[in-house]
Amino acid sequence: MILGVALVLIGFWGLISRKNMIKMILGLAIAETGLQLIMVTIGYIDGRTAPILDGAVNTLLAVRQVVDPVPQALVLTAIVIGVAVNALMLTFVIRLYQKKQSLNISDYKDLKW
Amino acid sequence: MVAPIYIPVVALGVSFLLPLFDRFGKKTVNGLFLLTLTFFAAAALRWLSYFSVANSPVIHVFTAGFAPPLSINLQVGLEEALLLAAVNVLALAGAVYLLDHLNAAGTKARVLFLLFTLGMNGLVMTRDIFNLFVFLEITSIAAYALIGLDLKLHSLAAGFKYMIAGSLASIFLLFGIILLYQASGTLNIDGMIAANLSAGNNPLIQGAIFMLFLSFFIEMKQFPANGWALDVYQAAHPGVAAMISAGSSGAIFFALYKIFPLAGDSWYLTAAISGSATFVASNWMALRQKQATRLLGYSSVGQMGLLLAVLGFSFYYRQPHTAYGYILAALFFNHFFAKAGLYWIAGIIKKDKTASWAVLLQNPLLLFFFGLFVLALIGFPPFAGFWGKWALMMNLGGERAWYAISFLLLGSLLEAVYYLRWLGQAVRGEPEKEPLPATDVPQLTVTGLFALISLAVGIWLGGSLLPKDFWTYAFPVILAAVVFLFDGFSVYLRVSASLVVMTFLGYYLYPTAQGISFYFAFIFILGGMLMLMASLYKKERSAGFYPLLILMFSSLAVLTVADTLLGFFMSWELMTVSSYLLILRGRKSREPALLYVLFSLGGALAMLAGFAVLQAVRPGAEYWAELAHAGDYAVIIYFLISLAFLVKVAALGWHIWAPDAYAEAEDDLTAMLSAILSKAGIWGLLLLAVFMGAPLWHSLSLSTVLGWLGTLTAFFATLYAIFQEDAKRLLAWSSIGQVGYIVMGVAMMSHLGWLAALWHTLNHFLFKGLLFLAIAGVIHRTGTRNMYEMGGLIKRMPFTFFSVLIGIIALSGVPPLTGFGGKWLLYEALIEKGWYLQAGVAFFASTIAFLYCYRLIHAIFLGIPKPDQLQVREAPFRILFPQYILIAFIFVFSLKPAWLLKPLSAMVAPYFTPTLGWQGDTAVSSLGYWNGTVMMILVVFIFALVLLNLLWMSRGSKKVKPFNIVYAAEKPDRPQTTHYAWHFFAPYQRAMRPLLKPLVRHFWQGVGEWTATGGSVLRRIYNGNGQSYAMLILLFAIILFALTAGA
Repeated sequence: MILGVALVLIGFWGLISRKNMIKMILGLAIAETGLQLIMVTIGYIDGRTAPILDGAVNTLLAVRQVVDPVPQALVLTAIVIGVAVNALMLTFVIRLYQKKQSLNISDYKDLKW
Repeated sequence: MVAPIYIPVVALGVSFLLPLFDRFGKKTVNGLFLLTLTFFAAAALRWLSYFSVANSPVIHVFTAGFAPPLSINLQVGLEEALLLAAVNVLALAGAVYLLDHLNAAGTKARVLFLLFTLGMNGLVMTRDIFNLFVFLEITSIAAYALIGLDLKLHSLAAGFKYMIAGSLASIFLLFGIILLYQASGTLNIDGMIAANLSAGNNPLIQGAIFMLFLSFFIEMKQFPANGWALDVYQAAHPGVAAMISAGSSGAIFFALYKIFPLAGDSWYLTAAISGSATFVASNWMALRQKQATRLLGYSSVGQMGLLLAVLGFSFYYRQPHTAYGYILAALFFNHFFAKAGLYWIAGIIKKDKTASWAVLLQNPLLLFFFGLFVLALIGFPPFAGFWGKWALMMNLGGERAWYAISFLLLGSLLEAVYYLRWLGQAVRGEPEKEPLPATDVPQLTVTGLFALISLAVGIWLGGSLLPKDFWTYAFPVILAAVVFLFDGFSVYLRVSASLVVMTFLGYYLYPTAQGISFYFAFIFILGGMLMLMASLYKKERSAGFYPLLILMFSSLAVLTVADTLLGFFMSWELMTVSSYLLILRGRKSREPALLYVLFSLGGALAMLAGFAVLQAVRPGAEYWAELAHAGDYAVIIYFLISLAFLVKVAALGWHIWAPDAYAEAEDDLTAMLSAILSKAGIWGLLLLAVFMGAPLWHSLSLSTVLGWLGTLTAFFATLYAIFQEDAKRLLAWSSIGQVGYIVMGVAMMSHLGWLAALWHTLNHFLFKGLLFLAIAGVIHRTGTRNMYEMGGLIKRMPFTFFSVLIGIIALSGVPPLTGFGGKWLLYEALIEKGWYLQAGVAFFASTIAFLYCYRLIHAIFLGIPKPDQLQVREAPFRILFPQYILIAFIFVFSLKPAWLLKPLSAMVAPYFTPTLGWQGDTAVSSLGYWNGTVMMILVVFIFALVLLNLLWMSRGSKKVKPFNIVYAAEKPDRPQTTHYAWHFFAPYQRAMRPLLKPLVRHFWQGVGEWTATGGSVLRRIYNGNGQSYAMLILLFAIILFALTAGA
């Protein structure tokens, strides 16, 4: 949990301190990872097993034996979305680089005020 | 009826299928694409019609066969159906608009568009908070990709900034959701609301709620965390910007509306503050913006702020759901359709700078749509924004939310400034040389469709707010529409149609108008008809002239019978907008018209605020009569409402619009403005006096203040009038001054005072109408307004000369004509009242008036004719005829003042004890008596004697012609300097210099300049750097935290 929060903060720091656009995206990615860690932690219950119904888990008592599966499902979705957004951002960076040969965010200030 | 689940199913299915159909060619793909969107729109409209029947059960869809919270559920009720209908109609129209753009990028672009639509639908329907997140991401990702689709540098950069903001928002959102899940054990929104999480003071839950709403506030583009949004609106293809500004912003707002009950008390006020700040700040920063799409971006952001503010207020004051639901719906749909339409127009004409939008003149239809959208966004009737604004202010007034009222009204005034400036640039800008790009018919069609929907929504919402006398208030619009049908036919037919509808209106209003209101209705309707006849003197009139005139005259007439506050305010706004559009038709009237409408609008908003304050004392007050019970708030209410009227009568301090507007409007229109329109303010002041009397501020009566205002207006305006070179400006200043006398009369609050005011109202209508029409005829023939460029026209235009002569005699107040009656009544009233100082100033002012009267007739008609005007003909009969009708009235009332004074006395009698008695036809007051007939005979006799004497003395004198003057081979470079009519009263001007400083104008210029500069400094925070925007978002998080913690 603490690690997750720390990662989120590190990610934010990276986002607002690095001028390089790829590093900014990495900052965001780190923050997202931290968040995903937090989500998994929240669903974890000490002493229980994975929420998979196989031989190791009694079907009837499953609710008491496995950890909460919902956050895990959410994390999966969040990861997928995060990946998609990051990929799209990188695509934009590539296209931007092709236009201006620069990765510095400060070089893209034509639109303002 | 279609089950809602088919929307995501079909959207996803078709998205996968589209690439497969690629091989069948573009047409098949487009067909399938549009078919799918049509299906969505049809399904949503079907739901809407289903829910329009009261008490229809809400549709629930449970996925995977379980009830929530085990499954995700979708819900469609009335609110959802409304949103879905709007969103899907927008998607279909937007797709038609964007089809070429999407085709250029291949099949994948259309898939993106479908996913974007799916995301918006999902945001509206889902009741699961994680699902909400997913749909939000689908919408956002599709939007990012659609923005970057054209691969232009600006779109890519803007898209990148948007993605940074979006990613931050989604991190906060996910954080909030997971914490909420931990606290409540459910992801179902209804389940969370039922758990009433915010009630406890658990810091974890408060943190979760903070994250959740922080994210939504960023998505709602709150100041200052909204720089990215402006860039997106500016850079994206306008078709895409329309989808984001109206569609996805709208869907996100609805999602926020859905989850807002989760937020605790501290959030309600925070939302109101943040939203109001965004609304004011973005409209303020937009003042100096010259780039069209970015300007629209500022406005979009501001509108989102307004919506959020209203949402916050509705929860903060715990109103019954319906009260604010109406406001939200009105403001939301107003923005939705109008903003989409404006972006589309921006995309059609492809002009970056607002100043280049004059290119719209090449396509009147598009210009018409543009005008409609702009007027809708400013909130003029009959558009939805007007009703929303009214209902919002009345509700806030009832809650005594003074700060909210002032901020929101300030914001909407600022918004009006740039929109109206833009409209002026489009209608009266420098005409563009390069032609308008060939208009794409589908694009034009969807834009027109949205203009129609805007109108329809507005009328429908108005119908529900105006149940009583709906038809009376709708009449002006309907009549204008009727006359509009005749546009394109000959002028005679159009004027005949106008006269018929005015007669009809008079017949319709006749039973309702009584007493003073009948008197004013009489002036507005018959005066209007007379002026309509005069307008025939020009054979060419462009489209829209007569419909607007009818709108102006008939809303003026409706003002006289409006007994509800809303009805009055609506007619007032209709009158303002129609007169503004009419003034704007003058050739050089862009700036003057803007000044006029801004002052009028500011006044109208002050009036609205006054009505809102009344709600605090009399909750639910609807009628004028209830102003009598204003109690402790009487002073402030009187002050606010009177501002609207003082602007219209151009009282000193609020007069700076008048000289320019009167001078630059078309010549016959000026006659209407001065003779008729300015009386609307007088009517308003009378109404105010009837219902509120004269409220006391400490020991100072407000009517004394009003009286002094009238006196000073009369004095200064008259002073300015004598130094004008331009005949119309001279008359304009004179008009301001004369109306000042009427204001004095009203302010006296006595029988004689009101008699003087009413008498002078008609008299001013007669002689100022006469003078302006006569001058219009002169300008028509000579082609100039400068008096020093005319001279000796008495020989060429004798009939016009006679008109002007009668006009100035009636104006100056010498016997025997009607003006004398007005002066006589006024001075009697002033002395009776004990206002000796005011009487002195007024007397001095009317002495000065002789100077400009003399200058007017002398410079134009007497002296030596100008060489190029030797062949000038008499003014057209069509403009002379109405003048002689006016002259006939002047003579009748001069000879038989009793015919007018006795009825007037009876009209005033219900309010004040009569102090004017009668002996036969002689009016007798405590100070003197007046018999018009005797006086006329005397004066005519003396005049005849003097004239004969003059003729006798001047026999044998030689007539001087232009060629009798020799310049001795010298050609002056400024010919006017050799003419004594130029700078006519130069010595007086030197003597009066300290009094002639345009202090008021400088004051208002300063206000305008400083406001615009302030906004332009503030907008520097949007420095264009994506990283700074990210920092602003984090800064916003801190501000928001402080606000919620504080509240």
